[in-house]
Amino acid sequence: MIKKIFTILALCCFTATQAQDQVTFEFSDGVTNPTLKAKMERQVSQLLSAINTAATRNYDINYTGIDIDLNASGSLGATWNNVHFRTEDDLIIDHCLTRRRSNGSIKGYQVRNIGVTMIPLDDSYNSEMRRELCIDFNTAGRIVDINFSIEKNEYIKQLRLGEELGDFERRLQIINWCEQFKKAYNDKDINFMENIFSDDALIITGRRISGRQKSDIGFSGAQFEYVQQTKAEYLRKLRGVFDRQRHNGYINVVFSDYSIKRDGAKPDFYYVTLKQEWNSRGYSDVGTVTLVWDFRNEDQPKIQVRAWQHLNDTTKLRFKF
Amino acid sequence: MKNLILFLTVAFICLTGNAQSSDIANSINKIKRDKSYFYAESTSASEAEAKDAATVMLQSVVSDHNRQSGCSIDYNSLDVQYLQMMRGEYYRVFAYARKDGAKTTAVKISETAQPKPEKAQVKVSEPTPAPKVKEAQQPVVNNNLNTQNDNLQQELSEKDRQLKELQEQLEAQRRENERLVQLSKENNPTANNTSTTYNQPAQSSTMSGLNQYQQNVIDALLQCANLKDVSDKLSRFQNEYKIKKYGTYDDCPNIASCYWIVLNRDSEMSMNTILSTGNDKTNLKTSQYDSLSKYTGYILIWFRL
Repeated sequence: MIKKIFTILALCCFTATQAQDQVTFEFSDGVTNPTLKAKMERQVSQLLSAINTAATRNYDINYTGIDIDLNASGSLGATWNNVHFRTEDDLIIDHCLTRRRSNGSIKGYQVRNIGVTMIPLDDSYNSEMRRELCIDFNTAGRIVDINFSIEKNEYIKQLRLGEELGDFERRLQIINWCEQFKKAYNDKDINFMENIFSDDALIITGRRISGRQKSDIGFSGAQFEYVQQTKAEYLRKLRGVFDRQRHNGYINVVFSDYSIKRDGAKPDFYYVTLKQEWNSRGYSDVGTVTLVWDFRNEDQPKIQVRAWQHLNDTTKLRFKF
Repeated sequence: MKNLILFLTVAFICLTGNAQSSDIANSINKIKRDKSYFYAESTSASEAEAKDAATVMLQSVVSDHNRQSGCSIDYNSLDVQYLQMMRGEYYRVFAYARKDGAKTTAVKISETAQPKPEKAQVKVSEPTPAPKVKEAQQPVVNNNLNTQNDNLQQELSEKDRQLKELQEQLEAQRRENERLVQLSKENNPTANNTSTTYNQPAQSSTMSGLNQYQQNVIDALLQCANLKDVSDKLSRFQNEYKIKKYGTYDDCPNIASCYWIVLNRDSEMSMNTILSTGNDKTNLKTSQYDSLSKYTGYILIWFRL
């Protein structure tokens, strides 16, 4: 009798575990077409349930039955190799946001603020234990991108600035692309890097020269050495870094303190300055990265310039087009 | 048998431990599904940050609504309420307000801010709209004159009720202001006590526009004796959402938009005074013009209502 009761209880626990992985997602507002709304809700519910199930069983994510872009699933899969996560809630209700192009036409839809708890796979993970997912859809309701949202303080800062200056959506777009750029380093995604840099991009990397320099007035501060590279040279070296870190290594890049300025003469060009913390097995540094983004094709913007400076180097970089 | 009892006990504790959080979460989901509310939420390691972020995002939701629908709803006219629950070690703050600008009925939860897992039962009342206001805003179109008259009468009596409420609030504020004036006279012995007037700052940016609980906050802080009192009170008020934020001079976002608590640099760090918001500040103890620059070297703490 006791054994039967324990068997029943064990079955109940197993069923409960299965039920725990299931997520129901609803839009509260933001999309009027009922068919499209139902499709996107179903997609998100299935995707989040699949993520939870994969986290519980320590498997890869199963995308069967989910209408998702190959790039999106590939990108999520690359992240899944480094860190797992699961949703905080099993019932999620949130706004459906409309993504628009600069001419006002609808580019797609987005849902943000999906809270997830991170499940590190090893001790190389040193980021936040709670993140928020952001899922992008195209106008047909297909999932085209899944990313972690930018850090909340940064989002609020840009929201405030954007409300003041009337360009919040473009700011968010820029930051989203920067976050994808950062994710490509962490995922060691060389294909993304091939596509995101313009063919004639100017890339400046740098390093600190060790040891103090003696001068007439004593020892001066640290010196920095900068190297200018073409896209091909930079990507060749980056491929080497990715290959070395792919086996028993890691890359953890963090972007913060965004500053976004628009070129007065060329409104599709944006100068983004951010603080970059680079951590990988055997090396780490902190510097300021300047990116010049070309948004003439806003569906596929390009980086025209990527320049790195050490935090202690206050030389102002100027670029002329 | 013992193992079975132990298992059932542990299962029961786990289930009831989540009762309160799930009550608040259910209320949040109910509000989200209700089309008559604006809402936004944020989760953060800091309670203040979560509330600040939720407020900014709610403002953005209202702005977006105005842009898309052509409305011009003023965020400051909305009655914003907050719900809070814990998510592990993080604070989840949910901000909401009725879209029609009516007073938002706050969801009553018997235990707020720090849910204790061992307390199983928490009452949560459903968010109900104010039915009288709703009826007043939806007049029934009817060709029957008697029915139209009845509806107009209802509207008028509703407006009378609202007017009475406003008048009572104003009267309460006037009585409070008179009490503070009397207090300032007592604290300023050099004033001419036979005079019925006192030096009123030309730009009164202090007491006017404050509601009763904000006035109570100012009064309570004025009564503090030292830094410890101030610190305890600010912390409590922030937990009760009676103040938005507070901090030291170095992290002040905008000097003019903040109240300033001035403390002396003595052994007890005793209270000196509180300065009002605005570019021209008023000393809330003496009701005289004052300036923050006069208090260089003092301990300065800002807060925002």
